[in-house]
Amino acid sequence: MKYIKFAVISFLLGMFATSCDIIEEPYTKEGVFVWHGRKILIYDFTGHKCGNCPRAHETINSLINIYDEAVIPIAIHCTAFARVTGSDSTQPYYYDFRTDIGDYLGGRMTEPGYYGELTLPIGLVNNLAKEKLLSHTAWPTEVAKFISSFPEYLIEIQPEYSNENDIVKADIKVKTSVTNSRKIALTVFIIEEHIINWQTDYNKTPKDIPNYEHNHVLRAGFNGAWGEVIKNNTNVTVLGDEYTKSYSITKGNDWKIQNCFIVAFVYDVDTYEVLQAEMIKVQ
Amino acid sequence: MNKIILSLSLVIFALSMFAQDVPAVQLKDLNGKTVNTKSIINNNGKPVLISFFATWCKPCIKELNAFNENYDDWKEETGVRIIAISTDNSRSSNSVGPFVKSKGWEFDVYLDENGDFKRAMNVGEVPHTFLLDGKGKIVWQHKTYLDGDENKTFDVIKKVSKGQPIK
Amino acid sequence: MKKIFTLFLNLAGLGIFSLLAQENTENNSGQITGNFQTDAQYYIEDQSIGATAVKEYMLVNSWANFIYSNQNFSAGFRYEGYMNTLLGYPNSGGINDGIGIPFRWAMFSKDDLEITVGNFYEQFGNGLVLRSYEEKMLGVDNALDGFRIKYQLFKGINLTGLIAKQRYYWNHGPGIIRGFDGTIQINEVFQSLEESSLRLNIGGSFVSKFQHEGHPLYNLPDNVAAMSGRIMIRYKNFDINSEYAYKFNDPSLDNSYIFKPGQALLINTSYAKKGLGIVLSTKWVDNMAFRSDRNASLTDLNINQLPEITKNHIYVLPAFYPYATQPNGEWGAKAEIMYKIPKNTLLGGKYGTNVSLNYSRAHDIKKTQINDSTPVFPPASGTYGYNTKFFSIGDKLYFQDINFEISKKWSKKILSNFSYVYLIYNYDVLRGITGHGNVYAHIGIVDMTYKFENSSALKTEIQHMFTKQDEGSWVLGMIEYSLPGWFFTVFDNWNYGNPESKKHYYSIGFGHISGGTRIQLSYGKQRAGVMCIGGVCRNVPASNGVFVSISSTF
Repeated sequence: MKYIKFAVISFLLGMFATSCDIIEEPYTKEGVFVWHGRKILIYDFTGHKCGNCPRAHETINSLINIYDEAVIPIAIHCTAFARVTGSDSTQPYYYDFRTDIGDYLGGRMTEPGYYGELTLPIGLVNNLAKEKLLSHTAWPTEVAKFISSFPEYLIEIQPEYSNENDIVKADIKVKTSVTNSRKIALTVFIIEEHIINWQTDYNKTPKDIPNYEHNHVLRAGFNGAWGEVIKNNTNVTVLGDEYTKSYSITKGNDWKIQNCFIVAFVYDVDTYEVLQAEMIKVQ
Repeated sequence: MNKIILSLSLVIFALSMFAQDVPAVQLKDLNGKTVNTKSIINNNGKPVLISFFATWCKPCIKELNAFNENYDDWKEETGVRIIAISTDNSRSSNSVGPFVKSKGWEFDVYLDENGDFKRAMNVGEVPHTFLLDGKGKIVWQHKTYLDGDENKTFDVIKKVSKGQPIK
Repeated sequence: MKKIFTLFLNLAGLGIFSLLAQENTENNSGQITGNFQTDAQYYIEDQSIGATAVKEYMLVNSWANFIYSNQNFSAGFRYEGYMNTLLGYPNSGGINDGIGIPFRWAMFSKDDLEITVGNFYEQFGNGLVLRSYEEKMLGVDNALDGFRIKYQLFKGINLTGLIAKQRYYWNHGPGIIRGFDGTIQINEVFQSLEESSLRLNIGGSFVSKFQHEGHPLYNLPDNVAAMSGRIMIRYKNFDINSEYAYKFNDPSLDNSYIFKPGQALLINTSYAKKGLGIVLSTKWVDNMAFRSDRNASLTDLNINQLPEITKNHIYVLPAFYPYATQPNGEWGAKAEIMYKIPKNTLLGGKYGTNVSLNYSRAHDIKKTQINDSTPVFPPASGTYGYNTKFFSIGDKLYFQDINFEISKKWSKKILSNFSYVYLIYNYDVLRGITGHGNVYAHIGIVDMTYKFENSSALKTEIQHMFTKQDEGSWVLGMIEYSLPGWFFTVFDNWNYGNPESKKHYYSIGFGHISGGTRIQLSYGKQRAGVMCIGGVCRNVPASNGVFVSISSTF
């Protein structure tokens, strides 16, 4: 019995002795990292009427500051926060950022999408599985987890745009750089930078910003929300194996093609992990 | 699915055949003293009525007011002891003492701040009342309070105090 | 999973039967108790109130608890099923949908020692540094999963130590929580003081969480500790109960990744004698959100709970604008007087009259810049954040509540309750938006009950809220007829002051109660609103449809 008492008290005091880390200034550190060419995809579910969403945009900007082109964010406007007031362009929030893919993934108005009822801002970092939804403050750590690993694939995008018929073409070449036997799919999107329009921001007074810069806005998909399976897990790919695909879509009337980029990424269909992403300017 | 339902009904059927004991849980009295439930349910072989309530719960207050008005008569006739268990959390647990005093309630009140006793007794929502016989076994329980329910409660207390079956 | 569960149930059933068999020969062979509840709603679209239908047509939340106990040993589990989760419960990305046994535990207690393995709930002091609890109606369950030891060192000295992870829907949060708490009841320790009219309890808690992240931008603390000290002094009719808590640097989503430590102080004082109760409370909170995942939000993974001190309104209309503690900075105070006008006086009448007056108020705290280049708002991530003086009170009003209540019994048959409530509700702060402004609301309530001879009763409620803000004024009428074991209700909540469209939210329902079982069925419309219990709030969407609830304790 004495031993038991001793053990009990040691256990209780052990709880007491657990440490606390007190951080002295500087609280920030230099974003130093080893990079082997893996690019990180971020889905940022957002909406122009979402007053906390600019916080997520700030997180993305700070990531671009460190990782530059190694992070590829996609802003997906969805849910009731993306609703529009009407088509009158003199009114705030007239502009419709929504897309079919955004509606399908994030939901339109109160109708939930693939990812269920979302509380914005929320996002996915390099993994498209439902249970990997993360609040924006968790994105930097998640990017850091993937950034230094070797890319299993490399992607080359050959864009082409014709002024005559407004067709955007994308020739994609996916090259194996690490032997594997995954089932992979290729998804290709078009996004647009520097769209100046309304945004709600609860950190600003007044909260309605007429000339907010919306970046990485999803415009359309070349091959749907989930892309196309390009390799099955029944066969092994070895270094140097290539898969090529060609897609085309018609440019939307309101897109500024000089600000548009093609984003292509491959992911493991079984684990939803994004294995590599690439982005290139259309023109 | 059918198997699950079958198994579940098997379990519940088996359960319904028990007369239950009151679990041992730590509560606080209104003086801040820790007490064990086992020690407060002793009433020298007479029945004990345990009522779970909260200060913000209107039907609970109505029920306890009704008990309080009849407490002297009930005690005289059956020797019953009433114990009220407050499930107020720390938002209002500090007000329970003054609240009870201002109502002039005569019975003992104990605090179950984090719901340990409530969970051990499988209480979902308050009010929820249990009746213990002279041996401390739970013989009857009642969920919610509708006006006039105290009449039924007293009928049951009378039967239990005389050792008669409830139904 | 299903197979395992069926197997488990069969084993449980067998186990009980074998126990039953034993009971014939021997007493104290253990017992099994439990409860279950299932809430189902069939959703009907109604665009006029913004209610949506669901693809499943019907959603069901259900759970059942089983507890086995035998002398010093007890064990139990909770089976939960959300197929799928009712609208308005936390379920981002469908995270709450599913079935399983997320809560199971075993406990052994003997003499001075109690050991729990598996899931448990715990509260240290007032919960400022640790409170693990469940609130099913709110979808909150931050149960701990690990080991806990409670030990009584001497009579009057109790120690608790625990190490655990926290439940996060069907998984665990990433953090590890270590906690220690000690309480000393002076009057118990010293026999000579046992009957003293001065009573003194002191206590202290220490909680530390561990979460490692390879954050690329900030030097984050992997271990974050919080501690608190508390004291309770009671002398005759007076009582003081106070707790102070301090939390070390804890950058999180809640505080926008600032490195400032947090503090909280809670003081409750009261005076009580027969027929009179007076309560005075105050609290001050700065940067005290404490979660086992620094990136968690809403109701997820809270380690502590900062209690409100405002009145918890249960009548429908005053509950439209509930207060919730602001962990990033808040001062609050409350004064409450409860008095029973004695029997056989002019105002007291034959049975006496209960009156109560309650006043509470909450403000922001004063925050100053740490240097010229760092604003207080918006918070500057990766800095100390801001400076603040302990117990400073800011100019911005968060909430004010003045309410007055009279309960009077006129005769054996007639009971009544009259209330008046005046609320000022800072909509922007409390709903986390900007540009809405304060809501000022006057609410009057008349609640009458008429008891018939045969234990049946008629209860009516009329509530009126006058406000020019938000959705405008409302009036609510409710009639409930009850007879032993049954009740029938009809109510209509009319938003007649709504400038856009005047909407009715009506509902009819009935219920049956038999012992520990309750069945309730209703049809009606519910407005979109906010529901708060115990410091956390959730948005409840408007709904229209049929609601069924069955609950039973066995």
